[in-house]
Parts: sequence; structure tokens; C-alpha cells
Amino acid sequence: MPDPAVAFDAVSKSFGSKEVLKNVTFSIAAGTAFVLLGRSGSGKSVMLKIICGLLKVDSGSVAVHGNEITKLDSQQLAETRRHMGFLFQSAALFDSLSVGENVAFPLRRNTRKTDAEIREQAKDLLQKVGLDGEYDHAPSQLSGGMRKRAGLARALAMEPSILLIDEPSAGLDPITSTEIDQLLVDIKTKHHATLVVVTHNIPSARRIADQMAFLEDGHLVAQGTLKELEQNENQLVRDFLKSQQAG
Amino acid sequence: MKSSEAALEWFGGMSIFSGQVLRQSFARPVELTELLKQTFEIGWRSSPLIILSGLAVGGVLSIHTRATLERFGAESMIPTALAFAVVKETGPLVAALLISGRVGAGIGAELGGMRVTEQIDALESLAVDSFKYLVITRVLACVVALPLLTVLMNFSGLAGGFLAETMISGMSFSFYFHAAFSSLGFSDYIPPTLKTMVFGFIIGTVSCHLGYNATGGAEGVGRAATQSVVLSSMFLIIVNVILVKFIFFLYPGAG
Amino acid sequence: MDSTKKLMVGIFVGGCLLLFGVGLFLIGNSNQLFTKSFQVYAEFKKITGIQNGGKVRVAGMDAGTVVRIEVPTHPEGKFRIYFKIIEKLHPLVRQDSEVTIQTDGLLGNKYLQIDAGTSFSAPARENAMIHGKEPFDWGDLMDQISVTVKEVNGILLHVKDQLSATLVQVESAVKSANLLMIDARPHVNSILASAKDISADLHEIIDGVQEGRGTVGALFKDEKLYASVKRSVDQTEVAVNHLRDATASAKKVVAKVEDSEIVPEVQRTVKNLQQITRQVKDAVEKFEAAGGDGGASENLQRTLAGAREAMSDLSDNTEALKHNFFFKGFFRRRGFFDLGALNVTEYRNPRFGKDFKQYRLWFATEDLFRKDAGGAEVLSAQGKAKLDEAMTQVLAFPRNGPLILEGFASDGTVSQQYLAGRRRAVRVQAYIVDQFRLRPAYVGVISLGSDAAFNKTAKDGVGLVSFYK
Repeated sequence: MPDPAVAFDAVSKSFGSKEVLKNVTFSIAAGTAFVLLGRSGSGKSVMLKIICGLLKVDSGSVAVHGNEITKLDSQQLAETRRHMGFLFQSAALFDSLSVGENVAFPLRRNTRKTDAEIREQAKDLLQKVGLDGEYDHAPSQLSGGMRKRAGLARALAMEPSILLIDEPSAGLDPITSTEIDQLLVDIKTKHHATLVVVTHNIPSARRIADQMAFLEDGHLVAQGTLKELEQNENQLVRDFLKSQQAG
Repeated sequence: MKSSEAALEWFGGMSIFSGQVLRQSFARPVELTELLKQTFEIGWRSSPLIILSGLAVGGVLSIHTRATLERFGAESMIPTALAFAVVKETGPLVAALLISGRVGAGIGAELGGMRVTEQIDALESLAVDSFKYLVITRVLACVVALPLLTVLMNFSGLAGGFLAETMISGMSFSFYFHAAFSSLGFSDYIPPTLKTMVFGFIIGTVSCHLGYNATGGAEGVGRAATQSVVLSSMFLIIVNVILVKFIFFLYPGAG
Repeated sequence: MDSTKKLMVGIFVGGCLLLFGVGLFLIGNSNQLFTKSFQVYAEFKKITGIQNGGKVRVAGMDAGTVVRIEVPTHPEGKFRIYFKIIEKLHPLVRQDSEVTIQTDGLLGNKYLQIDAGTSFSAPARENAMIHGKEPFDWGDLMDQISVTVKEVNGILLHVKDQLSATLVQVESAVKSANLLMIDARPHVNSILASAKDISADLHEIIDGVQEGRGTVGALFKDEKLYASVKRSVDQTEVAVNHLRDATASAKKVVAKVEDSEIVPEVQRTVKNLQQITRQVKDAVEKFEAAGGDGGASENLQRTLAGAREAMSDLSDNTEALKHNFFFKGFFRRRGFFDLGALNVTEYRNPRFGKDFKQYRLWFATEDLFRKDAGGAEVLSAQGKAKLDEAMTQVLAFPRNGPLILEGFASDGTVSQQYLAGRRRAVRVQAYIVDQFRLRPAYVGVISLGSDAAFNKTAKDGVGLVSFYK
């Protein structure tokens, strides 16, 4: 059996006196879409940052493609990150660069392509997310949904094997949200990428997820397919899935 | 936590941060493009401010010096007195304070903003060493730009002094500059200019530290910007006292 | 990062570095780092604050810097100051050039001044020694002056004692000797008076300078003044030398008097007088005869005249000193320069003594003088009593201004009137100076002849005017 794309083993993490993750263990198979559900502030985003190595765990271990991320030196960590894409909740576009240069940034940093090639590739990426013609605009000129799409284009630039996505539909209208979800599913199937998506938007989760997990008070209280979770013995999980069924 | 404890803790964090800056400044690879960009922002963009302030400060100093020296009939000492005042202390210190205001606040706000909008995390996620990319380049740019801006300040200060003087007494350009530099020794000129590298390091590190580690949203960004100016100005004034003493210790003749 | 930004960074860094370089060059240039120079040294006992890097000037032109100072290894050793001078000025720096330590202005930095040598001497060689002249010290000069003045005073006292002892003996014993002494006395008196004047003036000047009064305070503000002070110091040195000469002359006088036959002669004469009145005339005749053919008396007269001349030289020098701006404030404060040199025009000028109050007394000739056997006017006992009484009143006023004696006479020609008036005033001056121990410098004499401005009716007599504040 191949290594799982991501594996958490008894991971705990706290900020000051606040415990965010308590002894969390799970794994994500390569090429699947894994959706993390949970209430706001339940530590979902922290898990994404731990996978990417932006935050260090207090105890336990995290392995990405079999490599323990906590034990990598800075160069190995950088190498691992080149195979990851991260879409932040606020998109986190660099204010000092234009939209197109934001997308081109990872290519410029991590490849030896010529300037023209990079521009071409960045334009393609922008086109893919429906932002053709926005290359020279400043990020501040874009709407929230467009920024998110530009952020996605940047995360996709290095054709990552693991895509980490924080709240893809937060602050977006349902139609835009649906478009982005569709885009993610397309990417998963086309590039055989692993998706790790954090959301509390149930319709969005239903559209994307192969596997789901529910995080409550630092514990992973349920894990499985959508069907399995709907049958879960935990009342809270069932309520959570139902609450937004209409939305 | 008591405020004194908090201050000490902050100072400890600051020291560790400075140590990291020093260690990483010489580690390869160098973010050359970004360094040039920051030198442009901090150096070139500050030069109009420095030149104008220099002219004004030099002019005002010259007018005051004249008022005093006139009483002793020592008007011909004006260029010498002004050169000493500007080159040895006023130029370096005023340049550093101006830059701490302009650049310190800028760095504090920029890095603070990047921190709270996750741009720093985004850099890291794109396999970029954000510390080297953002902090080292800014600190180095400050260290490089400050002595250069000080030179600019010194010369525009002397030029301002000359304009003020020649308007009153019609003193000639060549006499003025010859008299200004004739009493200066190398020890009056080089150490005070080079000591501003330390000022640059202080401005860069303090404001990067505050911005890079900012928390608390938009409000936190504002706080980082304000504190960058306040703390870097304060530190550089204190460090200046030590440096002046130190230079005097190294070059007793420079007093 | 586009290319224009790179260009601007280039302009910024390059431009500022260029400016920095200009600064370095200007400083280096003024320190003569880039010009060819040669090194010499000078030795001094005191270096009065010269430092490494101190300026060196050749004939006033900035020419180099002090390179290093070697400290002496033993107390008698000298500091050795090495300095370099730009090659261009080498022709001026000769083996006979002299180095002095000077101050830039009065309060400025110390620097080395090298006087251009003479063309007879070869240019100074590399690493050669140039003669250093020790720094001038006010304190030293003052010590020198006061030592000399003391010496002079001592000698003068000695001379006075010797002379007056001799003179008293001679005067009381022999009439004819008296005549000789009457001849000599004005010489001696005037020597003593001017010596007193000089020493008094010098004392006052020294006191004034030491207390930093008058112009001395102002001195420390002006370079021109400073230069003039140096000149006046040179003059003072000359004056001191003159004083030394005078001292030597005075010593000679004493020696001559002691060596000459006057004393034993007089003693013998006195003995003769005591024994045989008749023989006195012979002795006197013999004595006079000796004077007639260039003997002791002529010798004494010549010596005294010489001494007087020397003293008047010294007077001239102190006189110059008085009019020197440096001490002007001092004399101006005193209100007059020298009463001995007072002339009628000055005296009549309303500005004279305008800062003072005046107290006037009139003495008619008949009240003061009687005629002696030779027809000359001398103070009568009654006159002396009157003067004593008047002076007691005058001395009740503050003694901070001059006392002027105006002599009046109305007989004969204008010049006879002048001389008679002067004689009368001088007699009174001599008496009161002696009687009341007044400082001669403060008691002036002026002859107004028959000019009766004082009193329309009285044309013969002496007016006493006391100036006070």
C-alpha cells in the first residue's frame, strides 16, 4: 500500500493555554478530496498550516508522502512545499505585485523558465480560473471572488500534488462558490492531486468531498464518507450536516 | 504580566531577532533583486526628504552660529563651526531620525499588514524564506542606505549653511568649503558617517521585528507602525550616546 | 524591478559615494596628505598644548601638521616635536629659521609658527632640527620686571644714602663744597625723582595687569589688540634692558663716589675746619682748584649728568609705554599721563581734570618766601607753617587725583616770569613732597608766569590745586 498523502499521528497543538488539537490521528489517501468540517475556531485552519509546515506541532508527528514534516531541514521543507499549493482564506495575494505577477511569483522563484514563458504560463493559469485580462491589475482592484480565484491560480502554478484550501467559499455568493468548487474537482481529476479542504459550508463540502472529517473541541469526532457521517452516532455531526443542507 | 516584565520579554525577543538577522545576513543565497528594490525604496525615495531637511537644518544652524560668533568678531569661523556641527553629529542623527520616521513606519506597517493578511504565510507556502526575503533585505537596505543618506545630509546641510551665509555676508563658495573642511580630520568625518550603519541596523531590525511579528488585525498593524518609529528613534538616540563615547575612545583626537 | 529603478539605485549609491569621496579628498587636501612634504623637528622645554595633528604655519601660511611628539626621558630634557611641511615652502625654511609656539587668536588652538630664514643660510635638510624659541610667558616677564625694579630701588636707595650722607657732611662743613653740591643736587634730585616715577609707574602697571584691570580685559577679544600687546611687551623688554643699563650706571655712580677723593677730602676738610678756621679757605681753594682742572668734582658732575641721561632714556621708554594703547586705559582712569610733561596748553584745556573736583588755595610770594644771602627765594619758616596748615586741609580730601602747583611771577620778561613762577612752584613741590611723603608722580608743577587767571589782583605767588573725586 502506498504512503498516504498526509498522515497525522497523535498530533496535539496549543496556543498559550488554549488547546487547539488534542491527540488527533487520521490519514488522507493520495488523489482524494478530503474535507475538514467543524465550527469556526475549532482548529481546522491550524491543521492546514501544520501540513504545510507553517506551524509546528507540540507533540505527535505529521507525515507528507511518508516524509515526517517536523524533521525536515529548511531545504527539504522548501522542496516539499514546492509540491504543495495553499489557497488562504483571504487569498493572501501580495499587495506589492500585480495579479499576474502574483501568479508568476512561484514560477519565477522555483523554475528556470524564461520571462516570456513564465508570463505565458501565468496568463494560462489566469484564464483557467476565469481571470484573463486581469494580469496587470493590482490585487486591491479585484473583488473577493476574483482574488480567491487568483489565489487559486497561484496555488496551482507549480502543479502541486497536494492542494491545501482554506474556506474556498467564505464570503462568496453561491454561484461563484459553485464555480470554484467545480474548478477544484476538475483539478483533482485532471492532475490526480490530493485536495485538503477546510470549510463549514456543507453544500460546498458535498460537492467536493470524497472523504470527510469533523473536528470538535480539538478532537476528530467523526471521519468517513458523506454517507457514513450522515449516519454518525454523534448528534452534533448529524445536526451540523443537516443545518446547512438548504444553503 | 507586569509591564516591566513585558518590556524585558519584548527586549529578549528583539535581541534574538537581531541575532537571527546578523546570522542570516551573510547566509546565501542573497535576495539581490529584493535588496535593490528596498534600497530604491529606502534610499532613493528618501533622498528628497533628506536633501530638503539638510538645506533647512544647515541654513538654520548657520544663522544661529552667525548670531553667536558675530559677538566675538569670528564670522570667518562660521563654516568651520557649521562643518563640525553638521558632519560630527547633526547630519548623522537628523538623517537617522528622519529615516526612522519615514522608513521605520513604512516597514512596520508593510510587514504588519503582510503578517495579518497571511501574505507572509503565503510566501512560506511558496517555498520562500520569508525572513530572508522580507527582513534581511530591508535591514541590509537600511544599513547601506543610511551612511549614504548621511553623506547627502551632510553636504546639503553645508550647502544650506552656505546659502544662508552667502546671502548675509556674500562669502565665496570656495572659501566656504575650504574653510569648512580645513579643520576637519578624517576621524571627524569617517567614524560619524559609518556609525549610521548601526543606526540603519537599529531602524531596520526594530521595525521589521515589530511588523514581522505583528498580531491583532488592522489595529495591530497601526500599533506596529507607531512603535517602529517610537522605539527605533529611542534606541538610536541611546545607542548614539554610546557610539559617540566609543568613537572618542578609539580616536581621542576626534573630540 | 525594472531597469529605471536599478538606474536610480545606481545613481543614488554612486552619487552618495562620490560625495563621500569628495569629502575625503577635501579633508585629505587640507591635511596635505596628497602633497609632497618634508619633515623636520624642533625642541622645546614646554609645549604649551601642541598636539599631534596640530597646524604648522610658515610665515603665516598653513604649511603642514605636527606628526609626532617625543617626550623627554629626564627632567632636563626637551620635548621633540616632529612636523612636516609642504615641499613648496621648503625655500623659506632655512637652517636659521626659528620655530615658536603660537595661539590661533587668543583662545584658539596652538600651532607652530616658523619664521622664514635668511638667504645666507642653507635650506633645512630632511629630519634636521630647527631652532625652537621657548614660548613667551607673561608671568616670566612680570617676574623679570619686578626683580629689576627691586634691584633698581635698592641701588637707588644705596646711592641716595651714600650721596646724602656725603652731601650733608659736605654741606654742613664747607661753604664752597656746598656750592658744588648745589650744582650737583638738581642732577641727583631729578635722577631720584624720575627713578621713583619709573618704579612707581611700573609698579602700578604691573599691579594693574596682574589684577586684569582696564584694557587687559578687553584684550582677550581682539586679535589686533593681541598683536599690539606683543609689541608693547617687546617695548617693555627694551625698557627693562634700559633700566638695567641705568642700574649699571647708578652702580658706577656709587662706585665713583666711593672711589673718588670726595669723602676723605671732605673729612679732612672738616677736621681742618674744626682745628683752624683760617685753613678752611685754603682747603676750599685747593678743592676748587682741583675741580677746575678736571679733578674729582668735574668727574662727579660728569657722572651724574650721564646717570641723568640714562634715566631720561628710561623715562622716554616708560613714557612710550604710557601712551601705548595697552596701558592707556590705566592712565586714562588715573586721569593724566605724566604731570612732569604737563604744559600750559594742556593745563588750560577745559578737558584737563574734568572728571575731578577741585580745591584751590592761594599763597602770596611774601607769605611763603624770604630772600637768602644770594638773593634767591627760599621758603621761610612762616611759609612752611602756612603750607603745613594748608596741606593738612588738602589731605583731608581723597587722594585719588593730582595735586598741581601753579607758579606765578610778574617781574621781568616773559621768560623770566616763567622761570620765576616755575622756581616758586618747584620749591613748594619739593617741600610738600618731602614733608608729607607724597608720591612725586602725583604732584605736578606748572608755571603760569604772570597769567593771573587765578586771581586778578595777586600776580606773585603759588596756587595749590587739589584734584579729587
